[in-house]
This record gives sequence, structure tokens and C-alpha cells, in this order.
Amino acid sequence: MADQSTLLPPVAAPGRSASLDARFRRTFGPLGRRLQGASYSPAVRLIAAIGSWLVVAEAITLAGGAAAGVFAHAIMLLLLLALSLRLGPGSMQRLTLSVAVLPLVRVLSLALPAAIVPIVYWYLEIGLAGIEGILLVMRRLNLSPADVGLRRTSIAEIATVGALGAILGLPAYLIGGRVDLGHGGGLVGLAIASAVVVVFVGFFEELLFRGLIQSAGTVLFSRGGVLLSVGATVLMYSASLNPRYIIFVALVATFFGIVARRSGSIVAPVAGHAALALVQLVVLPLVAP
Amino acid sequence: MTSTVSRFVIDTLPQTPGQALAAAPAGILVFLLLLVLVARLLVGVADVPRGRDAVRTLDVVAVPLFIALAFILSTRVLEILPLG
Repeated sequence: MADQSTLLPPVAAPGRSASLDARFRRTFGPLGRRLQGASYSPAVRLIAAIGSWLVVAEAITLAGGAAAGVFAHAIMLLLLLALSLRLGPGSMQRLTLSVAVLPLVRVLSLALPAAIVPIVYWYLEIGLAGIEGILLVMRRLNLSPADVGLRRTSIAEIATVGALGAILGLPAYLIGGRVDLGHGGGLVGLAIASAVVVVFVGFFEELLFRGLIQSAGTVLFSRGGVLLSVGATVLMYSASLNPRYIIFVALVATFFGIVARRSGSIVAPVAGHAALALVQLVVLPLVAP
Repeated sequence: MTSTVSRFVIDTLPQTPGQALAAAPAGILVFLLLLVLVARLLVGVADVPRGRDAVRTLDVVAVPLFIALAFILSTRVLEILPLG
């Protein structure tokens, strides 16, 4: 598996085989048979269905508050787990299980925050549990680190994308506004905040969106994998309710997605995302409060 | 990603230990964890095809939620300790 990255274009044609069609019909029953008349592949119909469910869950969160959101995303999570078991081994199962991390992360990010804990530790708590979820998805699907883009790439690319990420931190700060991480003053507080942001924002989010979801999407949709990861990123950032910030996030996610697809590695996007988050959340609030 | 949600929930966070104990989001999370653990136990002892796959699939949710439960409990202790 290590010699062929799933972030790179797939060798086989995306999921349009008769077996996938049959599996889709079995899984979705009458709805599947009715959709069979449409010209879309089972994989496209699957991701359209999952995407619309996730949008509904996110809308419930925004309209009903944290409790309703946790409930909606918990149901979504159980549905995706059941669907992944029903689909059986294959690329559609990989996609379903990879996308299941999204409602899991949303449940965590709605239930874990507490007023007594500084915001910087919210990132740590959510990120730790989220990374554990990603590792367990990798174990379940027998994915190696290389399969999710954890492979070497050129230093020049890492430095370039990292520098661009740092520059993009300024518009992110201006558009998204200031977030007080509550890490306190002093070098120790700054070092802890920097480490948490680099690992649990930069690494965690790129491993989820580009490493897990985009690689699963690339197996099924080829270039559509980038679109899938951008859609997932936008969905998870939509709670900001700031259209300019959401457009900015979509553009940055597209850039990182293209970089990951071209190189077959998520190391450069991790560097870019970590630099962006570090500038946006730690450096600029310090120098330009 | 977390900052977008933090802005959303920050105004509705429980402010006292009593409110925190009664908070619905953490309660739903614990209920979900119990549901998944029970399902995992049942699948583990049942003689079903692909039972091992099902257990590993449920682990994807069970372990992160267990970590979350540990954080929730430690936070509740942090909130209650000053009262003692």
C-alpha cells in the first residue's frame, strides 16, 4: 500500500461498477432502486445523501442550540456507523467511516467546552479525542500512515506552503475576528498555546480533512476528492455564520487540497494550516489585540 | 473549527457547578457512550458474522467518547472542588 498514495489519482475507475450499484440498491432499498434511474454513480448518491444529512444536523445545531446539536449529530454518527457496517468492505465503507469522524468531532466540540476551562484546552480535549477517533478509523480500515498522506515531501514545498499559511493568517484574523484562547501571559502559556494550536488545529484538521476524507474521496471520485474535503471543511466551519470567513475557509481548503493531491502528502498542508492558525490565534492577538 | 463552535456555545455554557451537572450536551454524550458500550458488549458475545469488524467499528466512537467522559468528569471535579 505504501507505494501508491490514495491522495494521488486512482488507478481504477471511480465507483461505477455493477457490484457497487447492486450494493447501493441493497442498502437503500426502494429509495436506491428509484435513484437507480438517475445517471449518478452510487458513490455520488451516497455522498449526496450523507452530505444532506450532515447539513440538516448542522442546521439543527444552529437553530436548536448545543443540546439539540449533540443529539442530531449523535444520531448521524450512529447512522453512519450502521451504514458502514451494512456496506461491507470497500471504498464506500471507507468513505462512510471517514465522514463519520465529522459528527463525532461535532459532538465532542459541543459537549466538552466548559466555562472553567480556558479555550486553548478545549482544542486539546477535542483534538485528543478526535485524533484517537481517526487512528481507530485507520485501524478499522487497515490504513497505513502513508495511505492518509503521512509521507515525506520536499522541504521547499513545506517551507513555501508554511510561509503562505503564515501570510494567510492575517486575513483569517481580520475576517474571523479575535479569539481569546485564555492561555494567560508568560512564555509558558505562550508555548502551551502554540503547541496546542500546531498539533490540535494544524495537524488534527489536515489529518481529518485532507488525510482521511480527501483520500477516501479520491479513491471514489478522483479529483472530486478535493471537492469532498472542501465541502467537509466548509460544513465544519459553517457554525461561524460569517459568510466571508466561510468563503475564505473554502479557498484555503481548496489550496491545501490541491497541494495534498499533487504531492500525495499532507505534510505541507499541515505546515500551512499550523502556520495560519498560529498567526491567527496566537501571534496576532498578542501583537495587535 | 473549534473556535467557530466555541463562539456559538460560549454564551450558553453553564456558569455554576449545578448548571454544569444538569447540562444536556454532556448527558447526551454519556448516554451515547453507554449505548455504544452496550452494543459493543452484545456484538462481542453474539455469534454473528463480521462481529470483530462491528466491534472495531464501534470502537471508533467508544474510545473517543470515553476520553471525552474523562475530561467531563475532571472538569466537574474542578468546578466542585472550590466549593469544598
